[in-house]
Amino acid sequence: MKHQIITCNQFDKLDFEPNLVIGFYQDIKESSFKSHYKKIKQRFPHIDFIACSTESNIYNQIPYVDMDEEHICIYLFLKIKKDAYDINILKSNEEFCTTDKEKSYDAIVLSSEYSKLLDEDIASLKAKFKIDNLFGAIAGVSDMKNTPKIFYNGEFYSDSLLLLVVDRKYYQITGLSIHQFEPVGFELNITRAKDDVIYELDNRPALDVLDEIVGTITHKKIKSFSFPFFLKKAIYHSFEESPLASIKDFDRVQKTITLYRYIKDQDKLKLSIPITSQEQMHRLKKFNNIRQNDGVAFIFNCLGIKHYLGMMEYVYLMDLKRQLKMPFIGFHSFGEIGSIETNSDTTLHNQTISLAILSPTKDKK
Amino acid sequence: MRLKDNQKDRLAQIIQKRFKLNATKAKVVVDGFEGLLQNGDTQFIYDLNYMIFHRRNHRFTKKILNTIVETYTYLFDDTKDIEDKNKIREIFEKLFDVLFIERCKYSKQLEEKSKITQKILQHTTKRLNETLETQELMIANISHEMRTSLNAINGYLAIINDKDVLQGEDKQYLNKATHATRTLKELVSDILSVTKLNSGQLEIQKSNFWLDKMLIKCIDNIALMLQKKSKIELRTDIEFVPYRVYGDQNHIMEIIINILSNAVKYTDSGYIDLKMRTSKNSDNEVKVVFEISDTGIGMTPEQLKSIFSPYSRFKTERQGLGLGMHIAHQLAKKLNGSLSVKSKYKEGSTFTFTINIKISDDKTIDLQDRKICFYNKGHLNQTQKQRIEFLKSQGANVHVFDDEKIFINHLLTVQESGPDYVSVVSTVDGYSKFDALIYYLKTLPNFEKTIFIAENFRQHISLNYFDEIYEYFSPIDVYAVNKSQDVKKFESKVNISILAIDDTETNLDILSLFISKKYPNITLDMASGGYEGIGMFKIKHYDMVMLDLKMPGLDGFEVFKKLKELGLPLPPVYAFSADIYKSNIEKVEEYGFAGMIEKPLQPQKLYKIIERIMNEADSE
Repeated sequence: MKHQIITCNQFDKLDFEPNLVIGFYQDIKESSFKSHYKKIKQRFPHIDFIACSTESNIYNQIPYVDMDEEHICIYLFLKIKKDAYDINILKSNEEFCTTDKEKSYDAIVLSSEYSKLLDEDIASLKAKFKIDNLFGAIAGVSDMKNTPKIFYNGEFYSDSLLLLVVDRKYYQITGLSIHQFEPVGFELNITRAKDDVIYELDNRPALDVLDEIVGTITHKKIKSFSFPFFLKKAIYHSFEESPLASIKDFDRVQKTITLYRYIKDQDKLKLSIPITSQEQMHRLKKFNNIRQNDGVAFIFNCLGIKHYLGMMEYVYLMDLKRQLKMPFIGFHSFGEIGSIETNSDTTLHNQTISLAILSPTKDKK
Repeated sequence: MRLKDNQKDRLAQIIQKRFKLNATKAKVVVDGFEGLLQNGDTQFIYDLNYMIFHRRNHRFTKKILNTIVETYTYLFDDTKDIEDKNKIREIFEKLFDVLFIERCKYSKQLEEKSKITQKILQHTTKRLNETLETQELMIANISHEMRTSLNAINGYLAIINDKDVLQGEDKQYLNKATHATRTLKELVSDILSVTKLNSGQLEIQKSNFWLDKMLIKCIDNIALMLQKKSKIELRTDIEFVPYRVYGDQNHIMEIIINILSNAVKYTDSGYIDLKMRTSKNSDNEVKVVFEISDTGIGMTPEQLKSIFSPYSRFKTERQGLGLGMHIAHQLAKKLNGSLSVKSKYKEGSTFTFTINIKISDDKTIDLQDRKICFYNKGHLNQTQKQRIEFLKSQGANVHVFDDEKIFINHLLTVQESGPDYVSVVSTVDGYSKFDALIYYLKTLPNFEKTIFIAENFRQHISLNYFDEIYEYFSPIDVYAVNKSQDVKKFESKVNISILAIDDTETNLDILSLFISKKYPNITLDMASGGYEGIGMFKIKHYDMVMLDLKMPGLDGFEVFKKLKELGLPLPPVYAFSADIYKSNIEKVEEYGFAGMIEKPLQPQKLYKIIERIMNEADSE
């Protein structure tokens, strides 16, 4: 497997002939991306080209986080065995049917936007494609100025999922998600909710409850992403193993709270507080355990992480770079798919740093 | 712009000096800086910022700031070209902006985020406290109900037992029911203690007391348990302390009794040793160390770790919930003492309870001219010698005998008034002989006021004529008691009227049975509710009112308020309650009740109150 990460117009630096390229482009720079696509396609007519729009990108070189539009488009060029991967485009509202296949796969999923099915039916998705390890991210939300999209060989898709599956016989994808919070206080029962809006917590107007705990909610507070909820659905045993769900908005008239996740009556919430900085570093060290030689990493940092860590996000990425000793590309996501512990269930998270490493399967060179 | 060689050297020197780096490392830093200056390579800034973040040391940050200022000053002064000067200014501004301005902004953001965290934690703490309070209240209410029911069960069982009508199997069932009730009572009491300790409701009640007398009470408390375990011997080695102390006697006793009963519970044969040693910390404080060892089942290291945790009972067949040691440990801490334990599995355990207690200011014990005769067949031990010295030092006239014949001869030949106290330590035969002798001596006028004391008496025979019998030793203050005081019996013939107001019929029933049994002449009127009670109070004079605090409709406090408002002469009104929480006791005092009678009813305490009221009525 050969790989090389290249930004924008530095394609002349590419020193091998790739057959797959994965690109991340800022949603406001779609035209630049299209011109890059044309150039690459002219040079490598048989290349498979997949991409997704992003809010901003992450790259393994300074400045790591694209603050000054230095990495508006980044591309991972790969040369991998042609019949060892497959690309699927799925509409997010279609039901995943389970079919048997002989091979087993690992996969990266890129979703143009949040989908209820992706949240609730990752198990079916994995079963249908015989996927063992699944990692990925959500590119945007439907109410963004520019519609979030995924891209596959010249076509843009909205409201869709792109699934890149690799044959485990040849390649593997390992990964991990970490966050920086711990649950605190009493559990709050969602007593009335619809889609992503919570009307009542413990039979009281949701915003009143939140105001009482956090102090009067303001948009500034929400944008700091300082107090995401732990969202405990029936499948989770404890709040500690439940995913985080960030607060997206609130309505002071209706006294409602909107999350970046769909919720249901009977789901439970707990507020969170940040762990200590020592504990944060300790958690980051867990990425050491999944390091693979000859690999290349995808990093999906939640938009919440970007806002929460602010200018210091790059420090965490520098740490990651020192630990992984491999190149990585990624973007700021609106939801990450991964698992908190290496053996735990694959779940959709908010506010995680999620890592997925593509590498050749060890016993198959 | 490029740095000149002399400039590079100078910068390396500055860095070497400030950070104590070697020349090679300093050169790397200078190269990084030159990269920034020459090509705008920001790696240098990112590395520096990363270092500051990870070091988290303000001295290190200050060093960097000073180095930047020094480097800037040097380079700016040393550079002549205006364009280069501008470039230097621009680069240093960027450096300063990222490392300090941006960082300050970030710190400000962090501060705001931490305010949210604090707010969440404050709310959580408040809710937790509220929940705990609710739980305390719930436990208090449940225990109130349990104590009320236990009051009834205990009372009825005592009455059935007193009637002595049950035979054979039925009597055995009654005993089992009584035993089970006692266990339940202890359990409720333990849970209440833990709740009170956890909620900070524990009251420290200090009083003056003798340490030896306190230990006798502790031993008495486990006497029944000990009787059932014939293969255990309790041995005492208690230093005599010649002064009273001032402390929370009841809670110190609770700790010692807990340890002692645990020792009995977990020992099937062998010894339980109770030791007490003291050392003066100062003129007004003494350090007291109680050590209780047993030859019981001991504990494994794992068990030892959790011995003071709640519910740490090891063997399920032993009685209790395992709260005892937890309570003892918590109590010891509350009293500013300590409780520690050493144990060897299958060999036994040693508990050491240490506490500093104030020496009482009240040192009066009236022993002037008291005539005391000691007889001890063996040699006096150190403690006995100390006790005798103390009695002498307090003005007592002490005679010590170790020869039986001489001692008996002395008693028989007493010419004037006999000794105030005769204290005997003897053998089984000796005690029987003295018991018979006392029978005779008591017929003589000069022994009328003599108190006969048997000490160290742990024999399976009954003594009929000794006035006081102690299994181990007598408390020192026994020698300050007058026989006339001691033997005074309640002889009041005055009839008094009591009004009892309680919504629970069984409580009234039990009360009636206890009072009528002891004082058949007392008139007890009973009301099953507040309004009924007030009505009765209006039309009849009562010498005492007993008022249940927790009643539907008008509660005890409201009834008491209305009784006061009637403007009639108010007799002593006693609160009758199972709620013995500090807050409730304080409320009772605040309302002006004469006192509190606890449920389950303790007849002896009730009789004491009634007798006091009868005495007052008598004297009027």
